Amino acid sequence: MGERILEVRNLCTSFFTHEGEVKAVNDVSFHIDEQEIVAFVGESGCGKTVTQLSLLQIVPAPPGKITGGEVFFKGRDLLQHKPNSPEMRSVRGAGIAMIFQEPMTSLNPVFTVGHQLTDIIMLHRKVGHKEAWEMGIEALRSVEIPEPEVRMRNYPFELSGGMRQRVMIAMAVYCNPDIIIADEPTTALDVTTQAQVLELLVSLVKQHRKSLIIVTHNLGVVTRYVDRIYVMYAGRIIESGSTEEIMTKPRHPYTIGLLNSVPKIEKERSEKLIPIKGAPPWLIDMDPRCTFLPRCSYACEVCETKEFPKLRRLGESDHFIACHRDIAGSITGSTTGRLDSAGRHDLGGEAHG
Amino acid sequence: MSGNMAVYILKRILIAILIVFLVSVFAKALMHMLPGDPVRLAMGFEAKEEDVEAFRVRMNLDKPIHMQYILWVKGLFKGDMGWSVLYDRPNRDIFAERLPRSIAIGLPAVIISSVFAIIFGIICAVNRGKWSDQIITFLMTLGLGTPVFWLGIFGIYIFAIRLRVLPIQGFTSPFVNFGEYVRKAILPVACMSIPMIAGVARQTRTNMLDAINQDYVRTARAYGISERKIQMKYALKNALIPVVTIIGLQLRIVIGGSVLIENVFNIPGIGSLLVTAINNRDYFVVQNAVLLISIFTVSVNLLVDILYGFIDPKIRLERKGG
Ligand SMILES: Nc1ncnc2c1ncn2[C@@H]1O[C@H](COP(=O)(O)OP(=O)(O)OP(=O)(O)O)[C@@H](O)[C@H]1O
Ligand SMILES: [Mg+2]
Repeated sequence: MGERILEVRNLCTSFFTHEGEVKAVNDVSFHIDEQEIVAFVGESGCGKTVTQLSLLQIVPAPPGKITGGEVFFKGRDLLQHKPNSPEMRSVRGAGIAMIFQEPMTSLNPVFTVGHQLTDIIMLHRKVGHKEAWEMGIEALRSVEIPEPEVRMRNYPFELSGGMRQRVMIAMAVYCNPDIIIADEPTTALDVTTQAQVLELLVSLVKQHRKSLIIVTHNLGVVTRYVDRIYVMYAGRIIESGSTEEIMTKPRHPYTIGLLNSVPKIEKERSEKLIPIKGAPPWLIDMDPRCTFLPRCSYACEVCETKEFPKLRRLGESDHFIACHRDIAGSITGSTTGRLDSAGRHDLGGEAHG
Repeated sequence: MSGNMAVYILKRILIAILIVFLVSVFAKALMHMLPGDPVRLAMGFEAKEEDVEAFRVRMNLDKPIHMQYILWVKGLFKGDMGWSVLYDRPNRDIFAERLPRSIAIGLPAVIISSVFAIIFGIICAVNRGKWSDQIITFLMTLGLGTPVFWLGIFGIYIFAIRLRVLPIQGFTSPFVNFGEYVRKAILPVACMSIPMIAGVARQTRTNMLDAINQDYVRTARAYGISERKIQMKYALKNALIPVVTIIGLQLRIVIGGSVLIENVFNIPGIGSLLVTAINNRDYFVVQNAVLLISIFTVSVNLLVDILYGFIDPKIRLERKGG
C-alpha cells in the first residue's frame, strides 16, 4: 500500500426536511491509501451514498448540508472550499471520480455518449475536441464496448444498462483520478452483467493503479477484490477492518446479521439466509443510545443505559467496532452465527473453524 | 435526412390534409346549424323580399349545403374564396386586408414573448428562491391572472392618455410607415405577450428546476463541469423540449388574431372579423377563416414535430426506426 490519499474525519451530513434533521451521515471517519480497494457496506438508506457525495460536496442542497468534519484529500481539507469553487471543481473527476448507482439516468438523455465523454475529457485532460473524441473512443474501447466509434454517436437510451455503466466507468477512468468511487455500480444491472462489469472495473483500477471505494449492500460479490471493509448502520460506521477480519471474525452484531443475510455462492444451498429482524431506525431524533439496540439479539443492560458506543480498536489490530459488548467468544461459526428457536444467539456455543 | 424520415413526414402531411378537410366540413355544417338568415342579417329587415331572394340566389345560398360546400372548395382551387354576404365584397380582398394586421401584431408577440419567457424562466430557476425569482414569479402570476382587455385599457390609460407617449389605438402597416407601425403596435403586442410570457416562463422554470435535480446533472457536477455550463447546456436543452410544444400552440394567435386585443386597440384583424362574421352568420367568411386557421395550426404542429426531432434524439431515432 502507498501513501494515505484520503482521510475523512468526523464527517456529518444532514438533510433539513419538514419533519426535522435527517442525520444521514453521522460522525463518519475513514481513510483510503494509494492503490487500496475498500468497501462500504450497509442496508439501504444507511448513508453510503450521501457519505460519498459529501466528499465531492455534491449533496443535493438544499435540503442537504455538510454540518461538520474534515475531508483531507492529498493533505488538503476539501471542506475548506465552497461547493462550487474552482478548487472543488478541479478535484471532481480529476481527483476523485464517481460512478453512480443509477446507470439508466446518470447520463444526459439529450446528448450523445461521445458529446458527454468529450466534454469531460476536454475539461480534465486539457485537450482539443478532436483529440478528446479520439480519447473517448479509446476510453470506450478500454471498457470493452464493441464498435466504440458507433457508440460515441449513440444517445444513452440506445445503450443497455450494462453498456451505460461501462460508459460511466470509461468516464471515471479517463479523467485519470486518484480515487474512483463506485456507488453500487452493479446493483441496477442484471445478474449476468454484474460480475463482468465489476471485474472490468477492478481490473482497470488495478491497471491504472488507482484507489477504489466500492459501495455495496452485497458483500458476497465484492469481498475477493477489497482490502478493507467499512460497515455502516444508520449513518455511522459501526465496524471496520481488513476483509479477512470482517469476513471471518465479524464482531458487531449488525455485521454478523448482515453477513448471514447475504447469499454466498460458495456456500451450500441448504444454508438458509437469515434476514436481520426489524427495520433500520428513523434518522430524525435518533435514540442517543446504540441505534442497533432494538434489533440486536446480543443486547444487555449496558446497551439499554449507555450512550451510543464510540468506535474502539480491538487489541492491536486494525479492527474497530462500535459496540458495548465483546461478543468475540460468543459467535457460532465464522459468518454463520445462527439463531436458536428463541431468536437469540447461542452465547455458549464455540467457534468452529 | 433518411428515407424513413421522409416517409414519416409524408405520412404526417397526409394526416394534416385529412384534418384540414374534416375541419372545413365541420365549420360549414356548424354554421348552418345556427339559427339566423345571413342574407336577412346583411340586408336588414326592411329589405324587400324579392331583393333578398335575388341576393340569396347570387350567393348560392338557395342550393343544398353539400352543393354549397363543393362550390366553395372548387372556388378555392381557382383562388376564389367566395363572396362576403355582410361586406358584399370578395372574401379574398377582406382577408388580404386583415390577415397582415393580425400577423403584424401576433408574430412579434409570439417571438418577443418566447424570448422573454425563456430568459425569465431561466433566471427564476437559476436563482430559485432568491428575490429575483420571487419577484418574477409574482409578476408572472399577476400576468396570468390579469384579463387581457384590462391590461390593454390600463396600458392605454398610462401610456397614451397620461404620459402621451404612444397612440391610443389603431394600426398602420409596417410597409407604409414603419415608425408609426411600431408606435401603434407596442401596446397591443405587449398586452398580447404578457400572458404568454407568464405561461411559458413558468413552464421553463419548472422544467429547469426539474432538470437540475436529475441524476445526469449530478453526474455533470461530479465531473467538475461548471454550474453555469450545467444550467445553460445540460439542463436547458432538456427543459426546452416541452416548451417548444407550448410555443407552437401559441403560434395560432399569429393568424387567428386575438379578439380582445383587436377590439381594445381597434385593429381590424382576423379575430374581430371572425366574431363579426359569426354574429352575422356570414358563412363564407367564417368557413374561410376557420379553414385558414386550421391549415396554419396543422402546419405549425407539423413543423414543431419536425423541430422536436432535432432537439429530442429519442423521437428522431424512433422515427428513423420507422
Ligand atoms: N434529498 C434527500 N432529502 C432528504 N433525505 C435524504 C435525501 N437523500 C438521502 N436522504 C436520506 O439520507 C439517508 C441516507 O441515504 P443514502 O442515499 O446515502 O443511502 P444508501 O446507503 O446509499 O442507500 P441505498 O443502498 O439505497 O443506496 C436516507 O435515510 C435518506 O432518507
Ligand atoms: Mg445509495
